[in-house]
Amino acid sequence: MKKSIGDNMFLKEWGFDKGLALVKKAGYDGIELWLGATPWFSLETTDAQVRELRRKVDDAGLVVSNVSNSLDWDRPLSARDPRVRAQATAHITRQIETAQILGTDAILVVAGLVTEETPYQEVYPRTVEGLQKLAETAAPARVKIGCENCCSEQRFLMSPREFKLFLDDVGSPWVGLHLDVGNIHDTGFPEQWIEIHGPRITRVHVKDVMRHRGRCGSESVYTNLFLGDNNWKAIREAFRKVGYDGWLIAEMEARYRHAQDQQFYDTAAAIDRFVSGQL
Amino acid sequence: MGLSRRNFLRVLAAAPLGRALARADPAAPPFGVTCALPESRAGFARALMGQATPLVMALPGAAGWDDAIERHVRGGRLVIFESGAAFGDARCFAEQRAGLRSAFGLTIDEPVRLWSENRPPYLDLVWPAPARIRDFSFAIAVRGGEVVGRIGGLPVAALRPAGDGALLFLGSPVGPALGHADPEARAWLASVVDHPPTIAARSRSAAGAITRAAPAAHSATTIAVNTSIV
Repeated sequence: MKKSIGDNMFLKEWGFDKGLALVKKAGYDGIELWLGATPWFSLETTDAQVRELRRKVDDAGLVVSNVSNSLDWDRPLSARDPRVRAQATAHITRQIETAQILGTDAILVVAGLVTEETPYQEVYPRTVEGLQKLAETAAPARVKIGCENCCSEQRFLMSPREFKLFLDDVGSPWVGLHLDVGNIHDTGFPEQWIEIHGPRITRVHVKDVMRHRGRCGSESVYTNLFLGDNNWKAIREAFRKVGYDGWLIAEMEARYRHAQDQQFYDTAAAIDRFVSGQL
Repeated sequence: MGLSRRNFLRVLAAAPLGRALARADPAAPPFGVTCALPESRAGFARALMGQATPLVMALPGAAGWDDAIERHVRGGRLVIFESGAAFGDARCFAEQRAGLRSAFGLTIDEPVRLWSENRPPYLDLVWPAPARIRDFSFAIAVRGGEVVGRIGGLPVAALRPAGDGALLFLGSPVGPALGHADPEARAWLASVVDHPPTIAARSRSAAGAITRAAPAAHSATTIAVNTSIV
C-alpha cells in the first residue's frame, strides 16, 4: 500500500512548493490534488499550468495519487436545474482531463446530494444517468471515477448494499467506490463495506471517527487515526481479504491547533503502523 | 458520423429552418420551442410510451415560443405547455411571456424560487383529476384562464380554451415526476390524455360558447409526444 495526503491540508502560507516538500519529508509516496480547493488548482488552471504542477510533484519525488474536487457540494450532479448538472459534468470532465495530465488513473467525486428540496427519488436516477455519461469520457481516458461515500452528509446511499446496487445500476467498470473509512460513522462498519465492494474500490481515504458523538453541532466527529472508534485491525484484514493494495490517502478533518506540520508526520507514522500490521 | 434522430431534431429545432418549416406547414410541430428540461421530456415520453395521442400535444420544459402553438390549439388539440422558462435564459422567458399573452391572454410572472419562499413543496392539480405532485424548485405563476393547479396560494397551472382546443399551461414541471413513476403524476397525465373528447363541453362551461370542428379534421396527424418535443 502507498501513502498519500491531500494538498487541501496545506496551510495557505505554505503554498504548493513548501507543502510538497513537507509531504515528501514526512514520508508519503504521493499527493492528492483537490480541484477547486486551492489557489493553484482551479477550473481556470490551464493545461500548461497543470503540467507545471506535475513537474513540481515529480521534482519533489512524489506522484499524484488521485484528483479530487471540492465543487460537487455546490454543483451536484443530481441538481434539479439542468444548468447546474451541466456545470457538474464539466468540472468532473475537467478532473478526468487533469488526471491524465497528472499521470493518475483515479478521480474522486461526491455523486448525488439529497436535500430537503431535492428528494432521494430524483437524486438516484439523475446521478446514475450523469455517471453513465461521464463513464463514456472516463473509459477512453482510462481514468476511474470513484464515488466517495459521504453518506451522512449526502443523505444518500447509506448502506454498503445500497451503494453496490447503485454501482450495478451505473454499470460501468470505470465507476467505482472511493471508500472513506471514516465516513461510515454509526451506520455501519468499514470492514463490511470493504468486503462488499472489493475490486470496485478505486482509492481509500483514511481518518478515524468517534461514533458515539454522532453528528452534533459544529463538533467534528472526525479525529486522527487510532483515536476514534474504527476497528483498524478488522479494516486491515478486510483489505487483505479483498486484495486491496492501493493508495491510502489521509484526509484529516480535525487539524492540529499548533505545529500544524506535525500532523503530517504523525499521520504518516500511523498509516505505516496500519500497513505493517502492528496494531 | 453517427447522428441520432434525437440530435438531428435538436439541431433542426435550433436552426432558423425550423421556423421556416413551421410557417410553411400549419400542421408542423412548434419548432421554435426548445426544451430546457430534458428530464421532463424523458418523463413525458416514458409515461406516454406506446400511446397514440392525436388530440394531445405535450411541450415539456418549454423554453421560448412559437406561433404554431396557437394554430395547434385552435385546430382542436389540447396542448400541454409545461414551461421550462425558469431553466432558460431571459430572452426565452420574454418570448414566452409575450407569446402566451398575445395568443391566449395569459400573463405569467417571473419564476419564483419556491424553497427560498418557504412554500409547501407540492403542486396541487385539480383538473382533469386531482393530483399532488412534488414541486420542482421553480414555479411560474399564471393569470388568466381557469386555474387548475396551485402551489400553496400561487396559481401555477391554467386551462385556456381557444378555438377548438385548449392550452394547459403548467408553471411547475410535472415531467420529472412522470419519469420517476410518481403514481399520481402518471394517473393525472392519463386523465389528461383521455380528456380531449370532452374538452369542448368543459371549455364551454368554463369560458362560454365556443365552436368546435369535427375531430376528424385534426386526427390525421398523430404527433407522438417524443417527436413533438423539439
